[in-house]
Amino acid sequence: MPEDVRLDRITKRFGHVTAVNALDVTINEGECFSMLGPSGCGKTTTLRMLAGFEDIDEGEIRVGDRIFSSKAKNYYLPPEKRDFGMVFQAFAVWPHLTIFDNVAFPLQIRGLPRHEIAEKTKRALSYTNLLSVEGSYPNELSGGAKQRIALARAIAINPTVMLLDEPLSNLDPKLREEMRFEIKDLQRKLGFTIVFVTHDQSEAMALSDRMLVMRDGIVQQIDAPLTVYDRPANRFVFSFIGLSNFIPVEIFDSKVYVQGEGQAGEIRVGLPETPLPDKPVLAFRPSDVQMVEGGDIIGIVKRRAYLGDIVDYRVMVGGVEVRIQSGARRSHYAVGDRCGLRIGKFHWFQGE
Amino acid sequence: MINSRLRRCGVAEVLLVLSIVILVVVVAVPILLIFGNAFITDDGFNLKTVIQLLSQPDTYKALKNSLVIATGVTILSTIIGVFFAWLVSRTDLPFKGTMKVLFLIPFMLPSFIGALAWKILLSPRSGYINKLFTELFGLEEPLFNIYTLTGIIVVESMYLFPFVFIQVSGAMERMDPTLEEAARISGAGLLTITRRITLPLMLPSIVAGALLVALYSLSHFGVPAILGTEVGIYNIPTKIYEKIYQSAGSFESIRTGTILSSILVSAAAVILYLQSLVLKSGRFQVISGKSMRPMLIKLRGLKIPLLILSVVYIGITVILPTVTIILVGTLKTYGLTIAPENMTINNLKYILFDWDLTKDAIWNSFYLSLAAAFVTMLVGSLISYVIVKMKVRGKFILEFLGVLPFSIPGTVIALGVILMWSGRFGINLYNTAWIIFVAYIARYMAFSLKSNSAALEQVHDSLEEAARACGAKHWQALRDIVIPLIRPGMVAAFFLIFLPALRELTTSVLLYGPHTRTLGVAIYALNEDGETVYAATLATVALVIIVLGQLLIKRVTRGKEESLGA
Amino acid sequence: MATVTLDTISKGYGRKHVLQDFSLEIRDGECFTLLGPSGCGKSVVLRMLAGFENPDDGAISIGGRQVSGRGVRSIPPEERSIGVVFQEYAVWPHMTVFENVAYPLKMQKCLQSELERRTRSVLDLVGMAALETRLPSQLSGGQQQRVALARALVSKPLVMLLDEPISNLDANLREEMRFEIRELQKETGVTILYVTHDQEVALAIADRIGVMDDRGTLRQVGTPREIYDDPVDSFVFRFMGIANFLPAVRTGRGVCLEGCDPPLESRLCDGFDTASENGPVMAGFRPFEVDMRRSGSGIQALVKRVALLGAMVDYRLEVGGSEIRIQQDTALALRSGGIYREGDHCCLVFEKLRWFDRETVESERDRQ
Repeated sequence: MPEDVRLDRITKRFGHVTAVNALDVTINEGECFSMLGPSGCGKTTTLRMLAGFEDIDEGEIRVGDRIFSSKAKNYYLPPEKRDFGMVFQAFAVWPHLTIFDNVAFPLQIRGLPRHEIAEKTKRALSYTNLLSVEGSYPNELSGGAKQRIALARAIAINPTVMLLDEPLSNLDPKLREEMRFEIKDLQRKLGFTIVFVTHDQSEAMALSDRMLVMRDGIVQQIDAPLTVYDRPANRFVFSFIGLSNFIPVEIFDSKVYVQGEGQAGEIRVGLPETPLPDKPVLAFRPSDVQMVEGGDIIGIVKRRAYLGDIVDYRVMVGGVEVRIQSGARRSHYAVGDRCGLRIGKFHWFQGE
Repeated sequence: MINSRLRRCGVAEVLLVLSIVILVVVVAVPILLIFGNAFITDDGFNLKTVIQLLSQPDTYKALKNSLVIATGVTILSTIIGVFFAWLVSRTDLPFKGTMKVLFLIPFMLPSFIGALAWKILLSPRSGYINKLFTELFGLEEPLFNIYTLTGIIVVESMYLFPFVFIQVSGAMERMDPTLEEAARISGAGLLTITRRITLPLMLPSIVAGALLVALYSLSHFGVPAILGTEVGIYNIPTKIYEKIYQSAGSFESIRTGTILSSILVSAAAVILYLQSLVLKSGRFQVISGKSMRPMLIKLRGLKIPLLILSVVYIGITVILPTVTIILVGTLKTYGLTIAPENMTINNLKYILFDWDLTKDAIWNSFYLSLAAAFVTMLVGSLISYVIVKMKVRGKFILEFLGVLPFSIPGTVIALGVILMWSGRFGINLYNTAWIIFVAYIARYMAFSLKSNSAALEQVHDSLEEAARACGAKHWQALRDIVIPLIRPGMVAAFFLIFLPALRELTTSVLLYGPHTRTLGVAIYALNEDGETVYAATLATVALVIIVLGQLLIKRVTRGKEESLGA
Repeated sequence: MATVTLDTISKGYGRKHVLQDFSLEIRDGECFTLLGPSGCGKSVVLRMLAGFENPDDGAISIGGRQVSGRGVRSIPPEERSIGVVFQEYAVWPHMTVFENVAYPLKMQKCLQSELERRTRSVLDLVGMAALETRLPSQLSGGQQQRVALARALVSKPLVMLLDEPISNLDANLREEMRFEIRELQKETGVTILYVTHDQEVALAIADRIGVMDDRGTLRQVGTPREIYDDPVDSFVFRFMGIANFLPAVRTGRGVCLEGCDPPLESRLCDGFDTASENGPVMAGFRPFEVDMRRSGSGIQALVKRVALLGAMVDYRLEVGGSEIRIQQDTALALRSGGIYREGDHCCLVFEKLRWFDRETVESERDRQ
């Protein structure tokens, strides 16, 4: 039996608020799975239910054929018996213990013989490049090193599943990138399953095999990162994954117009094959636009900011402001200019 | 260039010099006089007589007692404080919020009034509880003799443990809960976590609280004076008091006093130094910015027993003594059984309206505390401003002087002002209210500095600089921006001084004259004179004033928080 | 005329020299951004202009009037006719929005009717007129910063000094405020000194940028495009964005990247010879200045790592034994042959190369 993590229609309520609503997903063994969403969407609660810090109001959590939490059977395995590795946002390394003792702690708790503790601790330390500082205390080291201690502690027992709760968000951007690679490399070497919680879409995309996008306790989409980016399930997912433009449109005689702009606001785009939503909205990415003569839409440049590689434009399309990011060497439009926009890919969504 | 600089920071220099002068006159010179008096005789530096004096049996014994009491109180308070702090902040004890407030009440109760109550209850022959037990069970010996070192230690601990409780429960609540969760996910159970993670992480707060208790107990006068002197148990402060009063301020007694004081100051300095070391040690910073629900330990079957234990503890340490004081204060004569027919309201009438001694005491305490609190608040805000906000050369002198008030026990302050203001420098304030006023300023300067600096730290430099950039001169920026913004801190400082000063005993008892008894002194003196009932009546009045004052603080500070909307 | 000049300023704290012989001229009515890493002394420059600090040596003048300098009484901040906006807003919490903004006029003893008119007009300008009776605690960060801007503008200062004013705001608001500050300046014509460590803000907002290094030296002054495209040295190049460096040498066949076979096209080699007069050189380029092709005869590279970051794909490539970083637009990549996988080979076409001193680049890299 593969050690898949199975979240079987789990629900969690806090008072009248449903934090997680009938979430149903199977995380495959060895997969890197991330849960993404704005703060308060229920992603952290889900992770904490999986870890055993929160019990569940409905459903069942299993890993392989072992039941961890089950409402129906009224069974709940405490976190200390679940044998997960876990890394927390604020590092949670113990300042009163040396790095060696921090990493050895889970092994000591399990009552392993001393030489085995030493051996496994050293191995975890060498995986995370901490051997040289094993005798130091955590606060003598930088934030990045603290997070590596937390990683080493989590892998010390060689867990099959690793839970990561926003492990990179307390690090500066440069370190974040480095740690991302380190986590990925560790996974390659040790083969554990990763369940990863983050609010940063680029982090989720860079790290995961599949990602789950969540909002108000409800799953919006579960897919590979590229699919989520290129074929978002709905308007929320589209806007959460990167910069986005939305233009409410109306349709006469199979032609598309910017809402309320009449003939002047024509958009040259074919109608979708799927049935049209009642309040259709056209969406596209700011980076998926070329500014040309002609184009699919006509707009007027309202603001312009030079950012080095790109120029960031705000363009008025009728009464709607859209954002265009264009390569700096191809951008010669000034504020007030009329310009045509050629859109790479349009998405159709239901208006809100 | 130096000249132009002087002119440029004119206001700054004036404020600095003023601050230094105040601290020198109020705090530094008195301490120097004490050390000078202790170690320098006509023959210059003289250690021989110091050792001679210290090796006299009664001084030596006082030193030993101080050490024993302080150690005992520190250990006991730490155990009680940590246990209850853990109970209210880390377990699922019912009514935790209420219990937390209840555990802070012993702080409000002046410990010498507590001692008075315990004397009434547990003095070997006439204590009510002892009498009850000898009658009920026909015991030969009293149940418990409060006139012992153990008695003193237990009573002091009852009222000092909140120092530890506050520090530790605060730290436990602010601790990053993921530190414990990480241990759980590593496989550790809750008791293992408490033992191996939580308590070690709390160690600095525990030590900080324990050192505060030690500092306080070492120089504490009230409890040993009421429970010890009768049977010849002295600690350093009571010994100093006895020496000076027995000999009516002879040279030798003053000398003994200054030598003992020097020891107190040195001990206090060591304790404060240790504390700063503990607080500085960075590896114990476990406070998280994010607030989260901490993991609570389920007490299960122990829930109700532990709740009962807590309630009983509060009942015994707070309610029993308070009720005793109130009831005994109404008795027609001390020693009568507590029954309606033996009670009267006349005691209260007498001390409030007829007896000059008590009337004076209440009035003296009231205006002295008011004046001292007001002046200390103002001076403290001035000094804090210079220390926290200004960039002037020579500030380090002030920073050094600013630490002094924290390390001087009340007894030492009293002795210092006696040396300074008894005519040696042309001003004789002895036996006047002024000397108590000056002493209070020195005694409570630390409170004012703490509260004002905390308020000033909150006022970001840019707020004042913005005013300057907007065209305000330095004094206008102070008037329009800085002072309005630190007003809550100043008000807090005022009350932090006013309330303790109302019930002050340690310092006043060495300084009072025939017409300048304070509330604390009067209660103490009445008790000494065997007027236990009147002592209790006056103590009741003191308790009422204190409770009213606390309620007033609550209202004032809460109002402030709301108006700032933070 | 509100030209600002700093003439050979020196400033130190204790034994630490922050600035030495620092000179700068800010032109009338321009938005000048002083850009540098944290701790480089850029805020000290601003604080000396404001009068919160005094230079140890050198002279400062604002609008032709000397405000501090050798042998002259330093003019205190309140007499300099400046507006200052701080990173932490510094809006007074005990005053309403109106009282905050009116304070400078009150200090000038402005007539009540005049005070009200001018305060309201500047509140209008920053879009805060509707909230004038609120206390700062009832405002969002962006609104507080608008109040601070209004307060700095209301007395019609000669110069506005802005010290990282938007770095406490979230990303969206930061962009919005960037535009607003720019528009405010156009409307009022005030001279602005804007201090920041964020190169994106500097590029977007400035007429001219001055880049400082961590020793307090001004490395380059120029327009955003000059600074970004034609940096004077590798420090500026590195500071303005992600930088790739590859060692280059001249061989018999032309200029080659070390470890790579075909020589570079000659259009890329302008300036190589001048730069290599002083020793070995490095070619420098940005991640977006390279095109990746599936095949071709150009420089060969191996894809080591791929990270999809949303709108762009971030690659680490191995070229002739060195690692470089290339970024591709996700949308473009998807529509032109797809995203590369780890282990793929590709061929690189450079858009532009700059030449830097190799020794300097390497020593800077070691220091990091």
